[in-house]
Amino acid sequence: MGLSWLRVSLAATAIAAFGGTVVYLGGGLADDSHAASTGDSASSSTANARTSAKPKAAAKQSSARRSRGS
Amino acid sequence: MSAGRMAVLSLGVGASLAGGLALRTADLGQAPWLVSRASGMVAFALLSASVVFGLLLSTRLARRLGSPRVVFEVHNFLSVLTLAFMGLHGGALLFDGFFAFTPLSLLVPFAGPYAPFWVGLGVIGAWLTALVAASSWMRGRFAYASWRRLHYLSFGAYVLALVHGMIAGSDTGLPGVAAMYIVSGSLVAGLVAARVLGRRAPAPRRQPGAAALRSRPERTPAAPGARRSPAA
Repeated sequence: MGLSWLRVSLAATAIAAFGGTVVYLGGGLADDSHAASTGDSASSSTANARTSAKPKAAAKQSSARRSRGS
Repeated sequence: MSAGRMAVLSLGVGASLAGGLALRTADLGQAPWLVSRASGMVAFALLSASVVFGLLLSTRLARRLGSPRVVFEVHNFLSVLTLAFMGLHGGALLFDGFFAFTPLSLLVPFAGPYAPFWVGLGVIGAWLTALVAASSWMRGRFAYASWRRLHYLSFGAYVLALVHGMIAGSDTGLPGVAAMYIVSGSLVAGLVAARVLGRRAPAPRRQPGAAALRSRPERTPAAPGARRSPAA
């Protein structure tokens, strides 16, 4: 008898763990965005609260400004 | 490979590339970052479990737990899942709007835009994991001693992944994540110690004559007057 049931169980467990972690971290980020919007950085639940001021977007804006001569 | 399979594979690769390019231009918000963090944690948990099951096999503790064949199968398949989630962990960063990761910066160590050294350790760990897994899939082409030496690289991959996760990971401060690192490190360190100490322990003393009995294909009645071994 093969052990395909074992592989399916392991894969299903890993996918469930992944989904659960995404949901858990997503909840944390929601708290962070709330904390960022209220300016309360101390209530941020994760160490990596990222605001909407993204470096990549900021770099694009600055390069556009440079090209416009501003 | 048949022409049909080749066509399906080409279609799949083409669709993935086109989908990837389309996703890169889309604003996916925090989703890629969430996916990358979650898949990184799951990949580390799977790698830990794979190393633990491998150590259970090499320390012969697997026999006490049940079927070594099942433990071996779990060890093997966990490494496949580890590689899949490692791919997802890095691949999701390509779609992140915050950090400008490129395929090159994900494949080449120390070339990333964020914490290059600590992320670079993770990249090396991923390459080592892939190398060890590939060597196991092609085990028949290696001499056992060569394969075994190559397999020791998995310890290096584990340590690199642990350091990468603890320092470059943004969720190390979360209690559950910190607990995962502590439990994983303790388990692996304990099993490695058991393995090393188990090898240094003296071999069990054999009863006199036991070797002689094992060497005989079958026991035959001793002829009258013949010398008998002490254990016979």
